[in-house]
Amino acid sequence: MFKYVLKRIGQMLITLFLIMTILFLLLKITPGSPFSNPKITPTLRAQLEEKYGLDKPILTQYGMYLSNVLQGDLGESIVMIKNYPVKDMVAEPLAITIKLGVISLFVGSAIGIFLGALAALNRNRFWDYFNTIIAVVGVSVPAFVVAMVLLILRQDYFPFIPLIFSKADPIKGVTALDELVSLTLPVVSLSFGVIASISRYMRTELVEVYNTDYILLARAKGLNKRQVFTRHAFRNALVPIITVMGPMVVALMTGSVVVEKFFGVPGLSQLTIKSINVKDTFVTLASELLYSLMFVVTMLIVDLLYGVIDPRIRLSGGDKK
Amino acid sequence: MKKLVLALLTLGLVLSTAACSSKPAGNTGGTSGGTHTIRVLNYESKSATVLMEYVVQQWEELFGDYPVEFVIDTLPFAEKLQKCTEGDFEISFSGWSPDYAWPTTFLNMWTIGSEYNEVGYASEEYTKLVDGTDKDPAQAFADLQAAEKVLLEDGILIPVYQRGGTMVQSPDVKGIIKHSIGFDYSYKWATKADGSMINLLETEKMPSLDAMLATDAVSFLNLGNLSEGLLIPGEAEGSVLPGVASDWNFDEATMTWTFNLRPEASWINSKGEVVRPVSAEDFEYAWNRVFADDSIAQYKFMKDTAKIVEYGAKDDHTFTVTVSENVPYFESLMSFGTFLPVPVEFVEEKGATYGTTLDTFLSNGPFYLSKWDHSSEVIWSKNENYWDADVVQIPGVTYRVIEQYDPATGVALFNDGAIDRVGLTGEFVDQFKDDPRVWKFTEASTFYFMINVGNANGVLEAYDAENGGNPLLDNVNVRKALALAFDKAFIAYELDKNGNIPADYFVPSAFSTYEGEPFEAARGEGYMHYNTEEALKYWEAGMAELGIEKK
Repeated sequence: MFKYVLKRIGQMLITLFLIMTILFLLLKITPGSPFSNPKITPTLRAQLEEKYGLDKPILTQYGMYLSNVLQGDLGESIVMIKNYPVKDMVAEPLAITIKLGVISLFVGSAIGIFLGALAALNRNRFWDYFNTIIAVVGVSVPAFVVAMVLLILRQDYFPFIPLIFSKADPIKGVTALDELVSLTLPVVSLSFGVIASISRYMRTELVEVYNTDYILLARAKGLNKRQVFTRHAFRNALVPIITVMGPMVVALMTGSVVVEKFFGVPGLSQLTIKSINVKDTFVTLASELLYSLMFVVTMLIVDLLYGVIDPRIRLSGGDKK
Repeated sequence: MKKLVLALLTLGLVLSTAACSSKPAGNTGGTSGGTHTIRVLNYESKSATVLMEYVVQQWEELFGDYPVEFVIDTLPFAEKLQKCTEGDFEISFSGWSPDYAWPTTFLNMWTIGSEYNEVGYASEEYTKLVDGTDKDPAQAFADLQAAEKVLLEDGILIPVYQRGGTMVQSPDVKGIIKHSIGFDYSYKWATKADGSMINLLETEKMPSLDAMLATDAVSFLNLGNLSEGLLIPGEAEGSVLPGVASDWNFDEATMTWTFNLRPEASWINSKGEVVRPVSAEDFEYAWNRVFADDSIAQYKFMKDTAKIVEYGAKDDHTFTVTVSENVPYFESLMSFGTFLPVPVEFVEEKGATYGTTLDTFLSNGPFYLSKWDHSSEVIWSKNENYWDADVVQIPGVTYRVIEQYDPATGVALFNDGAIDRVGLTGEFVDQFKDDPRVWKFTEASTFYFMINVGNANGVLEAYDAENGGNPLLDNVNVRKALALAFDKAFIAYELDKNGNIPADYFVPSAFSTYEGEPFEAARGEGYMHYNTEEALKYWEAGMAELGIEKK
């Protein structure tokens, strides 16, 4: 098990290194300069590029960047906040995006699992149809439409729900609870998609589990419906869900761009998009690396969890390759 | 091993795609199967796209009998800018805003040798009208008016509109002054009915509070209210009021301006505490920093614009500036962000981090910076130690930062009462149409098509007067035809409705005057007014000269 984890961490590092390299080269090859203010004359632009080392050959710049990263220096922002360390710039947005993603995942999963189970236990009756509708709508409707609808509904029916995100600030009297409450609308927007897919997965898995021999045996042994569900069916159906939740976490974090925009959440998504637009390369690299890191770590955790939950995997060595 | 190979293959694919796609759009003025093409370069923006499609549609309708097609290339802003500098465009849709209150900030873009002359316009006549020295001021002003006429009648620029905007503001808030030059708003004289903080929305992070590095509107807005220079801008465009200088005078004999600084002007930290009085050395040090040879300050050219020869602190409270020529807009320049003072020893201590955080900045204006959270909020608090503190009637201003902002959110916040003012665009202008809280404003910026007539290799290279790229556009009749062929009023009043006004001129209206005469007095309705008959006549003349026959 330990060797497996070590091997996976090694693979992670190689993956991150490759991503960083490819991304760096891609960003440097694309046209456009961080100094894209029409008032900057070509002479001044050349001076600025020299100052920030942008006139050096790409490979030299890459070498400098790599050696800095290995020493823990992610560089400084050139455009968005001049001379400000990138590390400090991404820290807070990262925390907010993770918070938003994780809360949306839990809320969405809880509701999705519940609805999916309800659908499976009431096959071809009301809850099943309800679940199908939710799933189709959730998967088809884009996040920004959900966000806009929420904005309109809120204005007319729920004006007491905060419109935009407020950061906890003891001086202004905004508590951590207030901050959480201000995440209501973003969480609702994001969890819509989660509910849709998780509920479908849950329903499908549960139906499949109910068709297995061991469930038949459990009923034959004399367990009632509730016991069968809680002791056997539910847990077995959950296992594949956990695999799905892994990539869903990252999809939530990357897909939250629209939600961040509408509800003023200063998360990592909008920082990344902005930095790409203004060609603040170090910021883009740092945030993309963070996304990649979150993805590979999440996959590792999911794989390990899978091994912990399902003894069949654990016994066969853990390595599914 | 397999994964490594896969990764390398991906890398190779990515690199080759990038290499292939970086071929220039091409100054072809190409023909294919007898059809001539004119390419129009645009940037990614909803309103610009709609405008461009309308104009091109008008051109194609009017000139449809000839084998000429128009192609629109839309690029991200930074990329488009690069193409323009390199001369890799035929027609480009661009805009310009002023740096100081004099027409040369617009007109000297197109002189021979100007680094902004992206169209490669090589007109001796135009250059002499704009640049010529040894003229008396009245003659110089008249020459500038004539220069605009030459530029537009030569079809080098086709102006489309002067930018305006629409805002809806809470009736409880009054006294905010809007500027077209320098920084956008002054809040010194603002009032709010219940005496509380004014709440506003900002759609960008603030990049820097170091005036030397500041190039964007947000930085300047903050600097303009948190800091104060020798003078401050007044309500009328180009006018000034006392700032750190309580009085000033100009001595013709020595060509020297003398500014007397008030002793009570002070530097304030983020807690509102006085650090020390502002001294003339602070101005001298700041100006040295900006105008140094190796300085990367975007506005260091302003030393030449102001015709400054030398400057210095005569003593703690006297600052002198010697000029080679007393330009009419000198005082207006002294209210501009580039000429702000900085606290000497504080800047030396903070080094490169100066102006990046709350603790690396000192204020000396009507407000001081009391909170700077880069991702969410900036708060200005009233500076009780400001020399004119009695005039400041609000406890401060809060700017909530929402980047990648959607107008719907802003309007919702305004309706909630969470913010006191919001800009309106698109369908929201219609929504608030009859609302008395709406006010429209015009800015001193113009948007226009510029036609490449001589820039083949970049602005720093010699102009290629014979070959701007597209032979059709080298023909003055073709350019005039394009200029006369579309309805600017329709664009400004029907297509966009944001508050823009149609422009048959390049230097904005209500922008500069000389001895009471506004610049626009000489041009009446403007130049090259919409006229499809004339357009067709010029087009046919141009086609005949180029030897292109009807389809």
